[in-house]
Amino acid sequence: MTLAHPGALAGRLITLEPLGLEHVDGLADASRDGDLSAIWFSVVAAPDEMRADVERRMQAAAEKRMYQFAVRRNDSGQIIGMTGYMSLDHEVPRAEIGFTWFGRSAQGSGANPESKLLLMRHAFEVWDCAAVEFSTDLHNHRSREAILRLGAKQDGILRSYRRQARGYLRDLVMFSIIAAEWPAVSLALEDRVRRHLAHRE
Amino acid sequence: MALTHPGTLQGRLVTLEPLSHEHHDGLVEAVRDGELWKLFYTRVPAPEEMTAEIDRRLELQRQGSMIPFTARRADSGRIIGMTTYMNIDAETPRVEIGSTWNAVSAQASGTNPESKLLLLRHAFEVWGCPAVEFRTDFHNHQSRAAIARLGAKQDAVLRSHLRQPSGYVRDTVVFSIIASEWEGVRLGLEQRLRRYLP
Repeated sequence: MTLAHPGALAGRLITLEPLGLEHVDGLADASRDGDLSAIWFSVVAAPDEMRADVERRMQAAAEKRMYQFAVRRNDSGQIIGMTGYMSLDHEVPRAEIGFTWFGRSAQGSGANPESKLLLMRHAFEVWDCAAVEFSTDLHNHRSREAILRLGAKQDGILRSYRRQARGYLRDLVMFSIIAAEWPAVSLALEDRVRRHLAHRE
Repeated sequence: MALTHPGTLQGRLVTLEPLSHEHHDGLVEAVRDGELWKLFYTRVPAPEEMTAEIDRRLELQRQGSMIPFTARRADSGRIIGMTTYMNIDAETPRVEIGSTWNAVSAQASGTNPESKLLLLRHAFEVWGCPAVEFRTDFHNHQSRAAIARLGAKQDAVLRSHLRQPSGYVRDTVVFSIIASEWEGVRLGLEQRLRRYLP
């Protein structure tokens, strides 16, 4: 079985567009908002490396290993970040949702919960995944809290897991949501998106 | 950067030789001893699947993600099983020791702890790995107990993680030994081996 690319995923606050070269400039601008690539544990590409980063992820999509998206706000049309599926296991099936980042001004805007809702709905309801995985750096407390707030459970911490570009050894925190947990996670995310919409009106 | 192949790893009870198709008949004989492929929670090849399994491992070796070995008793020269370095991350560097099975009559003979000693020593002392990983099925209590007895620590239980050949989706238990723990693990393995040596 092969998990087919879902194409664009449209939500009420944001739309996830299959990552392409047309997104490079918008992504570079979004990453400058908060200077995300400068955070010491960051894996966000520096603005001048964004094109190479996008090309690498497009290649991984062609090989069906990773389907990455650019996140666009529906109201302003602005590109605000990136997210997508990684570590696709077509046999289980299982997917990691990762390489997620948002420009600082989009943080707390509801864009992240809605993008998770769109990605997980497709993973559980179309692909019929047994589980969806999240992982993050031990030191990325913002990300760890955001993942827990989704309703994911922490499966463990993989010690000295990978040498990062800056030279240090990353401990990787592993989380999952399994299929039986999806209905409750879905309700909670829909509620969060509704509150962001109500807040705007 | 790729990790250099260690060649044959020579112990006193066991020899780990680079896997080749020449080992096929000996591996088939070894796997019949215990019929391990019948256990629902293992990924051990059945006798008629052995050629395909050797091909699979050699292909992963060609791609740089695996270094597969055949385990042979040092005294009789008899083939007793398979083991590998797998999921090789040459940059960190980090490896998993896995896809291991041993004939039932070779279990508790000291060959498995010595195999681990040879593989771990090379990973930590030659390659300079900061960590070595082990993974097993949640239901494989024999394997979980053996990994814990090495001195590995349980890092995670990855839920609904991998589809097994029998069709069910397993939870994967992940263990690691990190470099600062290696000396204690080595001393423990050497002490266990003394029981089996003359």
